[in-house]
Amino acid sequence: MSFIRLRGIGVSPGIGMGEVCFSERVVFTARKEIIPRARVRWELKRLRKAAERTKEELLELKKDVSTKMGEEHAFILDAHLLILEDRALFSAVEKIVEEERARAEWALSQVNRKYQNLFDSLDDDYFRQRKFDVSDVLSRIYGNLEVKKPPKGNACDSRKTILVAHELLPSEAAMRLSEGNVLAVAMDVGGPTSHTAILARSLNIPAVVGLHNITQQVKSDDYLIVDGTDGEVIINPPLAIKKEFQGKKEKYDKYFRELKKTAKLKSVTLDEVRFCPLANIELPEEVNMAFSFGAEGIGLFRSEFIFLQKETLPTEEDHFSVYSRIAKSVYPLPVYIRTVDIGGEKSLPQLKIEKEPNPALGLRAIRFSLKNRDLFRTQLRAILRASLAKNVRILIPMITEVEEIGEVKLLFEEVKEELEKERIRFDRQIPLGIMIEVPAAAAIADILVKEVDYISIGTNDLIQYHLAVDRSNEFVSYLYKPLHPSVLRLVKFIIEASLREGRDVTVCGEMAADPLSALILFGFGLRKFSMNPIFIPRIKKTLRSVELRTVEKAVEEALGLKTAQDIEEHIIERILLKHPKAFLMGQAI
Amino acid sequence: MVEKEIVVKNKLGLHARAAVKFVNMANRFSSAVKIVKDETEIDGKSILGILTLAATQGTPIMIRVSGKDEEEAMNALVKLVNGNFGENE
Repeated sequence: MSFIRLRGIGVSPGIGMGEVCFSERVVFTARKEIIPRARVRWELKRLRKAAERTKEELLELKKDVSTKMGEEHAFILDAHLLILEDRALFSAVEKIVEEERARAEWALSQVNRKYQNLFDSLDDDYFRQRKFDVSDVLSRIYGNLEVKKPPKGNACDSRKTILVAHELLPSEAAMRLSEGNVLAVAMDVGGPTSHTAILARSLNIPAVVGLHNITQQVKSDDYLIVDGTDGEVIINPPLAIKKEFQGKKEKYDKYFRELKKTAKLKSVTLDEVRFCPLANIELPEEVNMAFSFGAEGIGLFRSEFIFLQKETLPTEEDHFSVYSRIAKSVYPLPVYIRTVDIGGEKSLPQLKIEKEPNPALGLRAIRFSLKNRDLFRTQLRAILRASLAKNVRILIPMITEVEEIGEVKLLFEEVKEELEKERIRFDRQIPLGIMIEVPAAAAIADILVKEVDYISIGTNDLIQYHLAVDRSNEFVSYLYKPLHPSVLRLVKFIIEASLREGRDVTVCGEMAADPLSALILFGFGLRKFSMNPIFIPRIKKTLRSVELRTVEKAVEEALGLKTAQDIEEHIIERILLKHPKAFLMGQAI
Repeated sequence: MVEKEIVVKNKLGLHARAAVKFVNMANRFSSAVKIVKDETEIDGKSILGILTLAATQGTPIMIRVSGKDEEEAMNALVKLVNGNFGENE
């Protein structure tokens, strides 16, 4: 057994160690075993028993997936149940047992091969891929032929294992990850925003993706370490490395438990000033996880994934089912739904968006929505329909000028009238807010804020645009500094302009999740911090261990300094002097 | 026996989700249901039959129903297909 270390992208933190289980569960046999004629009836009975057990298994799984993930993910199991009960399929298996006097294992394998060939001959790629559904069901029956000793390699159902796959379809991911026996995930393809990555994060399953060819490097008996924190996968580690990671795992698990405890504490500073941690999420499934980390609402719900679910454009019902589900599960707390931020580099296959020379400065977010009004209307209608319980808010991304707000409002009113005519009920007082990510908008925040009900500052884009730095570009990323005095002046101006008008203001960007930056924002008067939920406990910990007065004073002094580094040093020094525990974070995630 | 030719209009064609709905609907009736595409005839109560038809958007199919409740069955199935399987597109 060779020892290999692979680098990938860590998309869900934590460490998982265990044996490999491939996502293809197919383990058909190539050996034909003839049985005596007298045993044929017994063999058929064994086959039917296995089919019954498979049915129970699928029904159980379906119930599980619909409660944990929602109805729409469970449909694939309906399909599998129908395949199981398909007369053509099952009678083909029985026929082989009867006519060839072969064991059921061989019959299942033969029928599987027949269907693989049949589906392979189809012209359409989608229908060709359905062969995996057939072999999924047949191999489940196969596995159920033996009750006590499940066949080797097909035993992932009962044991806890590491799931290794080239790629997982959303339905597969939902199904596999909700079964509760996946220790970690390692995939050839995928990125941090792939459906599997998001799901893994929400279920606290360590995951590394983008490993290129891990499926070719591992065999089914291999032992794997998946380090989702550092993005590393180790195949067949020697004992010393195994021990090292065991220690790392214990440390992480302890840290994680510690964080969860913090999540339950009240969000107030030492001098009883209230603050409000909110969560940025991408899937309705993430709500419970966000709450478990202490989120007091969803500050940013990114709606892009709705467009990634299918090969076609989402319908109003697709949007609505997601929004109403999330509104219900968050109620009575608020959820801020950001209208779609696509275009630019976040392209969609369905839309055939033209390549632009400079996508970051191109047709994206609200610019895209105002150009594709039908899509925008569909989304607005669905959001409005989900707003009846009055906890839904709208966020318009990438506003540059006042005129855009005017256009959005006009369209918004049209859609509202439409719904009223159709006698569809919604929250008539639903507020409207914008995201400030463009420096030009930041500089006129005092004007913009008068037009809307609240403001959300997207610091990641704002800083990139303001400093003219692409932080993924290694040659210039050193210039990306959230504490650049100019960034701080800009953000301070937006926060103060909003508060002066009595409007709510939130920061949803990495600044809100970084303890030092969060303290500065708090000093500016910010009270709503929206971030990836896993960072909420650490921000709570920091803010709970300081006094507003100390922070305000330190921040005021820091604003007179010349460089980001001076500012950082000054704040740390001043805060620690009064509150030595402010930055006690334990191990970083 | 009744038969009717219709065109699959929804964007994804007779894909898995639609096939599930079709089979479940067909199973509510005692009549035999067949779907014919080009030269191929398949059992309309078999999901694998439907999936291997690979009927994409715009494909004309013939539905054949025979049995005691053939009229009701045909109406229900045609309504399902013409209603794009409740998918709005």
